[in-house]
Amino acid sequence: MDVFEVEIEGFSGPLELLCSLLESGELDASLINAREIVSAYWQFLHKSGRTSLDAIAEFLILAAHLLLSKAKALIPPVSDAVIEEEEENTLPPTESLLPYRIAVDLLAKKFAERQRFFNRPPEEGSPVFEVGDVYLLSAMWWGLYAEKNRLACRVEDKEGWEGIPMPIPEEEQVEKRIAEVCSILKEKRRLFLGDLLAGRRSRSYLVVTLLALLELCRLGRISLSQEGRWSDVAIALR
Amino acid sequence: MWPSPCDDERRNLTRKIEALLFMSPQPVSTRELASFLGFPLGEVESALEGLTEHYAADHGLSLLRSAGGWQMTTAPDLCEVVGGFQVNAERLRLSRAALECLAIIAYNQPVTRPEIEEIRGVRSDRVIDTLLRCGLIKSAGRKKEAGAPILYRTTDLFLDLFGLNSIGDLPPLSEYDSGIEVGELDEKLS
Repeated sequence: MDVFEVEIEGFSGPLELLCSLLESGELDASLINAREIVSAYWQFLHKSGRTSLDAIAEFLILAAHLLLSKAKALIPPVSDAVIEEEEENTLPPTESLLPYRIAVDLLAKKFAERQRFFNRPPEEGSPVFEVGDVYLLSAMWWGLYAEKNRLACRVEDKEGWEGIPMPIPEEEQVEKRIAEVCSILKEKRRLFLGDLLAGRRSRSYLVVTLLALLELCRLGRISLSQEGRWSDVAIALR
Repeated sequence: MWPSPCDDERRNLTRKIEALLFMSPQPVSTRELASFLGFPLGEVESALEGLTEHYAADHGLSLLRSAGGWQMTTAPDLCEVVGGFQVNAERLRLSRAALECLAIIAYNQPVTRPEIEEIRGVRSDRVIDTLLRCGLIKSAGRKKEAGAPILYRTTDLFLDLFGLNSIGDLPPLSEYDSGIEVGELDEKLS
């Protein structure tokens, strides 16, 4: 079986080894183009025909390792951070908060006691990724993305990876479908829901089409009718 | 008198446990040690008790029970000298806001952000994000209700940093209402 080899500046070898070197800090993750490597690996799997569940799972695990290492390298470490006095509660405590205020004193005492014991620091990077890590990774990513947009930087590379469609927000999909339905109706004036779904049997496509029709109906641009309970839905331009 | 083979075996078990705990950066459970070393749980527990007593007697190291396991640490009375030696190792400091959030999560887990904010009476998203980044809490799925908010729970790192063996080590919330002092609560815990 073919083995995927990464060829980048300063490294040539299997992806597993690259991930391991990034996690151990022997390679600087901030200098790695994660998108390029993940994209190349996906294409390798696609071409080799290894589309089993195991291959997809392996791909997701390696991509997650790579992205988490990259995210960690880009964001300042928090291990020695001070949690700032943010959202400090200066209001008088409610009855429900009172017991927790006392619990805070106990926790502070236990924390101070534990700080008197020093132990070997944990190694950088965890070999195990939990759902929380993925959430954290997503939160970091969207935070960076929002910051980038706030600075009015141009968002590059909107075309997506080869072979993988870019995720499109639901409202954009509906808007796109509204435009498609209007264009078909301009030619035919009247058609059926079945015509709109011809050849497309995915659930998401049906949902987006129904949302588009309901929106057009709400705007008074089309009328919807049905002769019987299970008959096809007729769509007519108003 | 020569030591019996049984004594040698026991001494070797203690040495092996000592070596494993010395190497591990996080607490190791008794079960994990027993399973890895291939000894019955009872023998491992007995060896750990012996090791704890050994280190309690005038040593620079100490054996700490934390986060459901055992961890080798420096002796608490040496904290100043060790802290002074580790000049660059700035340790985590927690604000009262962070401790308040942690207390609410610890006692109500799994709990959502709106539930935390309802108890605190203030927005808590930034504190929660920071606690997540520090690994003191983690997400534990989503609650099946409108908006499907994320549920949070404390991590083993939280237990370790607060010297707790398990969440059950915390006194029941009702005890805080009885006017008991924190010192008394802590004594009851230990």
